[in-house]
Amino acid sequence: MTRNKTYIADIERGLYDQRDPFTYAHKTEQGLTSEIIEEISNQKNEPQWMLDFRLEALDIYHKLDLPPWGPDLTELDISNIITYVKPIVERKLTWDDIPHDIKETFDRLGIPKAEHEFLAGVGAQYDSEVVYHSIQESVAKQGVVYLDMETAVHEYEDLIKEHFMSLITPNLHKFAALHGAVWSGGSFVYVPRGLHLEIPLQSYFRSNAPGAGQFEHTLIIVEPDSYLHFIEGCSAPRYSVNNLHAGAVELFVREGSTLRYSTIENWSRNMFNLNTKRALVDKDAAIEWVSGSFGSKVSMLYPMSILRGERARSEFIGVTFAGTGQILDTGAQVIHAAPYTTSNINSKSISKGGGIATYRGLIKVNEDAVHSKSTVSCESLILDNESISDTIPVIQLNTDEIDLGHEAKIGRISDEAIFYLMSRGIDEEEARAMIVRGFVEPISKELPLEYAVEMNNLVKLELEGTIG
Amino acid sequence: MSVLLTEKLNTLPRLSNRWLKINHHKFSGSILLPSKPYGKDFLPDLADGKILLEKIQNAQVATLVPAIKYGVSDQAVKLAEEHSNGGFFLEIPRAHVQKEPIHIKYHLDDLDPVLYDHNLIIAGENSSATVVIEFFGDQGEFYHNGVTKIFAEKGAQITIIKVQRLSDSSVHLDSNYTELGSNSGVRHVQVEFGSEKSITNYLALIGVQSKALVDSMYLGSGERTLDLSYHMIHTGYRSASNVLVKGVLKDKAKKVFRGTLDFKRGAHLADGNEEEYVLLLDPTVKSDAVPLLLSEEDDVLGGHAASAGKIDPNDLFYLMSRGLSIEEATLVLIKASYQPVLDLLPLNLRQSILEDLHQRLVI
Repeated sequence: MTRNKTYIADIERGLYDQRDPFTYAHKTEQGLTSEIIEEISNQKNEPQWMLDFRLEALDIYHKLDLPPWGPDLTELDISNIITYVKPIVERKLTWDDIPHDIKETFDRLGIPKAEHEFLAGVGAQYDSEVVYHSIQESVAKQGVVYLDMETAVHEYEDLIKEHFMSLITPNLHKFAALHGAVWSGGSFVYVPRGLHLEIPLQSYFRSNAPGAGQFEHTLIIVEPDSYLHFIEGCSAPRYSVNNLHAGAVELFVREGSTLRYSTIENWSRNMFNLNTKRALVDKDAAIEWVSGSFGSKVSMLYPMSILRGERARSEFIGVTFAGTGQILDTGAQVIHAAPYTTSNINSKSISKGGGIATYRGLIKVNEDAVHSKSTVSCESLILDNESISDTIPVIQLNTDEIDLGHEAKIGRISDEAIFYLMSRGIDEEEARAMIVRGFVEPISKELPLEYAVEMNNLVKLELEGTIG
Repeated sequence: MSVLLTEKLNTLPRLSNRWLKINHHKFSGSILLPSKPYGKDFLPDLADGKILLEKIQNAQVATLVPAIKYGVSDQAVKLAEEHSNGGFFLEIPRAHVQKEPIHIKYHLDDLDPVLYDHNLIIAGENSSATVVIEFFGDQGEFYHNGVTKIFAEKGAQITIIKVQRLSDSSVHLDSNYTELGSNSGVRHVQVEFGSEKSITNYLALIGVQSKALVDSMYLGSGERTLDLSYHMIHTGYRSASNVLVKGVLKDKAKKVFRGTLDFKRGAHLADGNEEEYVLLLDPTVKSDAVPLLLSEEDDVLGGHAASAGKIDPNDLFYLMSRGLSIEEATLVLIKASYQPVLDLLPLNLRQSILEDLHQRLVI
């Protein structure tokens, strides 16, 4: 029996694949040695403890092996990755001072518009250095600190020293160690006690140089009883050399506060996206992850929530779309480490054109995390029979006073649903597109602002525009 | 003579983070090898003579070989086959319908403390039968390492019931391979009540329009460890599978459930389902579950669900308001949870398992 398949073409990536002439002020030699690390540290004029930290992480990096599980990473030759590329600009305070070509890139991505219209601040990372960083005055007056990491290392040295890579230690895995050694750029956010920040902060990372790695570090501290929504978006133009992104995101959510962390990742399809994200959630606090993974060649991304305070909460909503040649291995990990903690995971994945979408999750309930609740729901949709979808959840329970539900479904677009829509006068292609859009709708409605625009580009073009 | 188990047991078909220590079962120590053939008579007398049931011979083993690797580990399977001191060969002829269950009993005691059984079942076209395989023995330290291979030909309907009630200081390794021909159906019913370490592995190759069912119940108590793996591989179109696992854990018992629904390319319109429910009676238990869902085919339906928790206090309250003590009410609810699997057992076996349950659940 044969069934008709709707062909869904690749997304029009023209906008994201534009590449600028490759210019740089300073570039390290290929490969990774302690001289390179010292050079990076020198360039940034870092304190001695940071250099020591980097060198120690480099040591650990050389000792650790690649993970024996997950996607094959042998294609990734780390000695070919130029770890540090510095564009020819000094850090600017106003948008007008930014060089034309770089500005144009961001213009195309709609960043300044975003700032004018809605956003509190924009941290845009062009290659490894933050070239443009501003924060609306009103927000700064309330005591919110929003800086690039380099500046923060100097201005808030004690805070950074205490928190930097304390959640994601270099020992965690090889790419955490690499990050510790060569990290560059990223954002530091500090929200003071009792502040409810209505408007979201946004940071857009963009990688432009061929063969350059992105190792930005994001550190966010939300003091008690505050609220912050932080949005991170990533894209990179397409090059023939494989790129590597090994960023780290460390989130500290203090008692009674809520942090929403939204990400749209749309790296070009030669990018190895090996990102690590962890949140430490205190008593009565909540972390909300909203995550869209579209781009990259290989993604391994599993945001972890460590619920260490009573009644701490974790929400995860994620959508993964794996197209031709992509292996997107994503998921959510939650560690329940205190009583009355709750977690909710809602993951959706779509694979097509030979893409591999994998959900890899973890729910771990520790001995003392009594009366914890966890609900996991994973749904996957395979659009053709060249593609692969795997669900790999791990559930570890170490106490009896818990309430756990886990559900996963894999399925196709039902003929009944198509028939129903067609009986209402909608043609078959449009009916299929509607169903797929409906499938990801719970996630897309969680994504605010201009990211809706990007989401439009990514989801609608991919699903709707080219069907039929 | 004993042998060290060097390989990882019950390795997952897809690996995950190493620090979780869930990718496989780490078995520390060695297991005894059999020193003599299993001495007791374990085969029933089948009066009508149509069915071939005898102690297994090497020539029979060679006739049918599993298409893929299976079992607790390659080493365990090889040891069970090479050092086999028991086991049977069962051939059910074409279109034969066996009404009475064929009951095979392996009784371990001081005389037979080690059993390596190699069992081979061939179900002819459109035949039908139920086979009960029991492993039991109390008081003593027993070693069981076995393989059971089932080849169900076109249209065959087979039920295998495996009941393991070895002493609480025993080691139980059991590898099961099932190959389902087109339009066939094989039901695997499993009861795990004994052994200090119970490590079982079930793999089914589900062919065109065939149906593989697993109904399993386990009870973990004391400091016992259970590691149960089910791998349902859909190779044929319109193949179906359903895995239902019901468990109860108390004291310091540890359990790992590994269930994989695996849809291979070409298995279009396949339908697979997998559920695990576990009741946790004590805060000291450990319960891990890895329900994998792998698919290479777009036109399939697959679902898995897992739930774990204490006995619902509302249910307890209701039963107690009707005059039951908390112990009685708990027992009623545990039995109710096991009921779908218990219903599949022959009556005498069901009663004896319920008695065991009472004894083990001294709450």
